[in-house]
Amino acid sequence: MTGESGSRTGASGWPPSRTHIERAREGDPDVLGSILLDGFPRLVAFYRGMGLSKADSEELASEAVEGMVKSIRRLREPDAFEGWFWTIARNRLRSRLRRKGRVERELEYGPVDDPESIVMARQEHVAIRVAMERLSERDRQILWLREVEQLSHDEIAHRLTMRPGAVRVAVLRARRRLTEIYESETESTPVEP
Amino acid sequence: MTQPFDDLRRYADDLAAEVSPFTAQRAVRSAMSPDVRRPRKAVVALVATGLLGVSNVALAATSDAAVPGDALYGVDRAYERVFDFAGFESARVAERLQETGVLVDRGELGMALDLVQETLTKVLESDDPEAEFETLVTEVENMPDAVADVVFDGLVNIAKATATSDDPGADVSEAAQQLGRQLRELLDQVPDHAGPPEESPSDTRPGVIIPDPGGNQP
Repeated sequence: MTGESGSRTGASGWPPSRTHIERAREGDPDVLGSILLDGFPRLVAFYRGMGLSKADSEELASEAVEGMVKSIRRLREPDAFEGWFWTIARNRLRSRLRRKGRVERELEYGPVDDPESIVMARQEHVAIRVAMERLSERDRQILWLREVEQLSHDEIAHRLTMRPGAVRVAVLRARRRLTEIYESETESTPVEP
Repeated sequence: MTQPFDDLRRYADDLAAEVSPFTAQRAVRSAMSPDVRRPRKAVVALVATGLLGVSNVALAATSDAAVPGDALYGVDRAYERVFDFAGFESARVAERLQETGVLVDRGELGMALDLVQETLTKVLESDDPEAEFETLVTEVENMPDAVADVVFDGLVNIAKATATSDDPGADVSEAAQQLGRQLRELLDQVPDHAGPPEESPSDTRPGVIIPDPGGNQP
């Protein structure tokens, strides 16, 4: 994740190359470990972006990584890697949220919910956090997968069991909503440089 | 207007950067150790116990009455193959599960769900059903979450019915039919499988073919 250039630059080793994915599937533990090491912080960021605490996010990312280790050999097509990766990630999140219950989850998602986190305390992130908080759970996930992870509309549609056209509409709507809230927040609360 | 999205990506970068390398290494090392505690273990145990505790005949007999278009028709067909081929090899179950994953990756959810149904019957007949069931659970976890949710909830309902009911045959039937209805509703929402009502009298799901474990077409 490198700013505007996003996650597709390859400079950060993400997404992993076809060769690396092939070797991981064939059982090369070093390559698999390297891929998962690169993916772990992305998982934690995703879960925190969805509103979980740092501790819960790290725990959930650990569970997701376990699931990936178990099922990497069944990933037959390297091109499906990112879809596979984020499907496991989202399934873990859904299970966790279902267990925790919506009320507790909503309470947890707040601008000062994680005192141990330096990032959460940064003024520059308040507007985007508040804007994300006000989106629906699904829109939050769609936006994250599209804007941060830069998955294609088709990939998102496949993983969310939606039509690609519906994903495009949902992305547009979520982008518009995020922008409105963000602008409202930045107007009411000047962001410090 | 790109600023909110640039900010979102910077926020994501900062959140990712806040993860300590030690935490990441510990998590990956733990996940890759052979004795890792497997997630969903409780679900696996619950479902496996419930499913294995009931006579397979109950589900077979229930589904035997299914006709083309019924929710249990796929189960019925799978059971026919169970008896036709007189038992299953573990390798064949694993192969079917791998095929399921490929079908899901290709977006062919109808066929994938049929394979899940079919594989479930094989699990019940396997020499090592608990291990096979855990494989099934892992495979379902890799499916799109809407499908996985329905399958998991349906399996748990079936397990509960078998574990607590005085009349497991009837309750399994009800739970299985509910699962079938939910899967059918889900299929109707999938682009590849949504469409007009079935034209063929042999099956209500257009384009859905139930693969034959023995390599024969039904």
